[in-house]
Amino acid sequence: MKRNKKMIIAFITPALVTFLVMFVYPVIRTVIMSFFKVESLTASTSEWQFAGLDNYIGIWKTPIFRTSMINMGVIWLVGGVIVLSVSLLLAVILTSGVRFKSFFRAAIYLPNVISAVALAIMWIQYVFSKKYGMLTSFFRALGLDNLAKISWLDSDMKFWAMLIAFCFGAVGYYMLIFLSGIEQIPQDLFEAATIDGANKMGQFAHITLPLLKGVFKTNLTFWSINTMMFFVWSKMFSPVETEASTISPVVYMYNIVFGTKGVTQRDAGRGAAIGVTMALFVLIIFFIFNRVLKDDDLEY
Amino acid sequence: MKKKVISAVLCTTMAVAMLAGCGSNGGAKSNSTSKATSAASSAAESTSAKSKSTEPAKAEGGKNLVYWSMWNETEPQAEVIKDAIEEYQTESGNTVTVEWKGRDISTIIQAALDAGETIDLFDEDYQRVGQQYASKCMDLEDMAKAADYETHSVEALPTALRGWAGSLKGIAYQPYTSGIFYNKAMFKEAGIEKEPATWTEFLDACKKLKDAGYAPLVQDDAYVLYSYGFQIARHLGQDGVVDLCKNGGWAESEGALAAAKEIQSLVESGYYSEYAPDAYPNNENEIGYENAAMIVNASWVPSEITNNTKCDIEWGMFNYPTVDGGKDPATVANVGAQAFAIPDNSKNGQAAFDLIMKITTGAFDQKMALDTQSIPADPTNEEWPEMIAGCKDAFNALTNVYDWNMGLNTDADLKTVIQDNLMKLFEGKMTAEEFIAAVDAASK
Repeated sequence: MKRNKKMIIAFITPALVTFLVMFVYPVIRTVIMSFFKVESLTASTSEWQFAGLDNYIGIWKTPIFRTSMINMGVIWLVGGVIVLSVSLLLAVILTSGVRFKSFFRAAIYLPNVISAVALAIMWIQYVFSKKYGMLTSFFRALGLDNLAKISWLDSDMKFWAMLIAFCFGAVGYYMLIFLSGIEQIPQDLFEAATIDGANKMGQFAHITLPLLKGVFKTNLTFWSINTMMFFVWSKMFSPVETEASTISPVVYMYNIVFGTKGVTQRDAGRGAAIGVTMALFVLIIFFIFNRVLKDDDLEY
Repeated sequence: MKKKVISAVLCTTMAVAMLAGCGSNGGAKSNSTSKATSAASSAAESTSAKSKSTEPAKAEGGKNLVYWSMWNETEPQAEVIKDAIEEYQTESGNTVTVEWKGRDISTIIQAALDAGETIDLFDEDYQRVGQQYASKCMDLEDMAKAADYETHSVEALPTALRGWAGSLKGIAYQPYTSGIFYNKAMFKEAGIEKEPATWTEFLDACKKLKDAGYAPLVQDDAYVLYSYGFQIARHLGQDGVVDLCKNGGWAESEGALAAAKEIQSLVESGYYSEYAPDAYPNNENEIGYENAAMIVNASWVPSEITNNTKCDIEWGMFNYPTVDGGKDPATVANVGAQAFAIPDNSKNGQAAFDLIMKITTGAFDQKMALDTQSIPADPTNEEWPEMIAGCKDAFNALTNVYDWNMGLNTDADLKTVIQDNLMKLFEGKMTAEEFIAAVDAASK
């Protein structure tokens, strides 16, 4: 095919310029800003004061930032195990010839279509409410008074209540990815295994799972990025004042960059350091997954 | 050749589309130009000296003011502002382009000010105007003096703005006050004849309400800092709280411990609703459902609870009681507001100021108060919304003001720790001594 270099340049230039201005420039500016003491995000560079690694050291010395990182770690690990297991289970069930597959697929995916804000309000007001929440009413109806008395939104349980609600909203998305991965596997492999006497569990363990390695990597990467960017659910569960039990690194970053109600001190330099730290975490996780789950195996 | 032409057209289209996409949309925008032309001629006739009243100056007209608003276009505050703008346009011959940014303005206005964006006026939380944006805003002292602004403002508000910014950098409007809001019928039924002024009287009122079968108090998670803030500030004053948050010493502070013990006592006496502290706004709604009597909050709460529960309550309000040996009298409360400001690069400073006066004083301030159930910013407007009429005496009696959370916001990181431990204190899972020890450890 004949290539017209001028045309290639003409078509690429706008996208390239946009990419450089909208993406590369902010990234470079953020990285540089993270080494400076800067109050406002858009302050002129003449107001920046070089601080070396102070911002990075400062955030790790701050207990509330460490708490936010621990919260994020628990969301990633516990939430990840729950969401990816449940979504894989649902995907396997839906591809096993169950009736009304389309309906269930749509129903399970539905929470992803609804705004996270609306979902969070639903969970807080109608599920976890101490007075008339679904869980309280359900356990009371069963005569399980001790369970009915659980305060799902008190200081000890709030994080777990938030995690349950978040996982509920996330399952459908990962299930769809697993579903498409399973549907790519040729049916004759399962038929041959059935003829050879393999049961459903055996087929799942020795055919489905190994051939979903690439899909797993995709889902794990998406899950990691989602948990690093955990923001709306935290804000909804602590709407006016940020609480340590629900704080995430991104919420902490937002608070110190823009201030909160009644708090007007800002520190965009530290905010940038948190942003760079989170980006490094994503890169490290991506690198580890690439090493552990290699793409060189057979997959469909 | 034909291919080249098509390619060039496609390429141009792509570039134009991208540029258009990058253009400013700025949220909902309304450009009010109606009547401007006819008004311009009449306004031009009157270019006499600036009025010393709060009426906008009769300018030569023809200017276009850009206003970035903290409201969404359908909010009642926006409706009042739109009416004020319409009248301003008719009178001045200027036009006003409004960009309804909503609350997102708090994350974008700083960037806009730093970038020198064309904005002639904006509004935001008055503390942020005074502390965050003041350096990029116009000094309004001279214009305020010429417009006799002091006569039309509640003294505490410009005083606070001057305290933060060094001079008047904003014009406050839609103020709120704070204290304890209650259901008058329940007080009457419980036999409480006088609003409590001291902590002892307050405890007595709580006991009477409990005996009458009501939960005396409600508490939502979002306001535990606010409640404890009032309590500790009554003991130490806001400066004392700020000092504790800045320099530590919680374990040695008798006032901090006494305040925590008083909260613990309320919890142990069963004076809080059985569901307290609940997720905001569940517990405050208990007042609307007529299960509970009192709430520590600000003057928006009667309207908020009424909207949430459709209740029909006769609201009363009193200033937060004094404590034995405490530093502050009952006449100190958290007061706040929204504020208009004019960026220092605006070329239409006087015109913007006139519009601000139009909105924040006189008839439109009265309309704002009545339509949004808020306190008039202009004290010459004496009509208060019925729902918060009970605040009037308490508000007028104020001698000093607290910031939001009464100094507990001083260290944002420590604040989060205090919030978490307060939740445990209000839940009865922590004693006052344990609470103080936890905060003391975090403050070191």
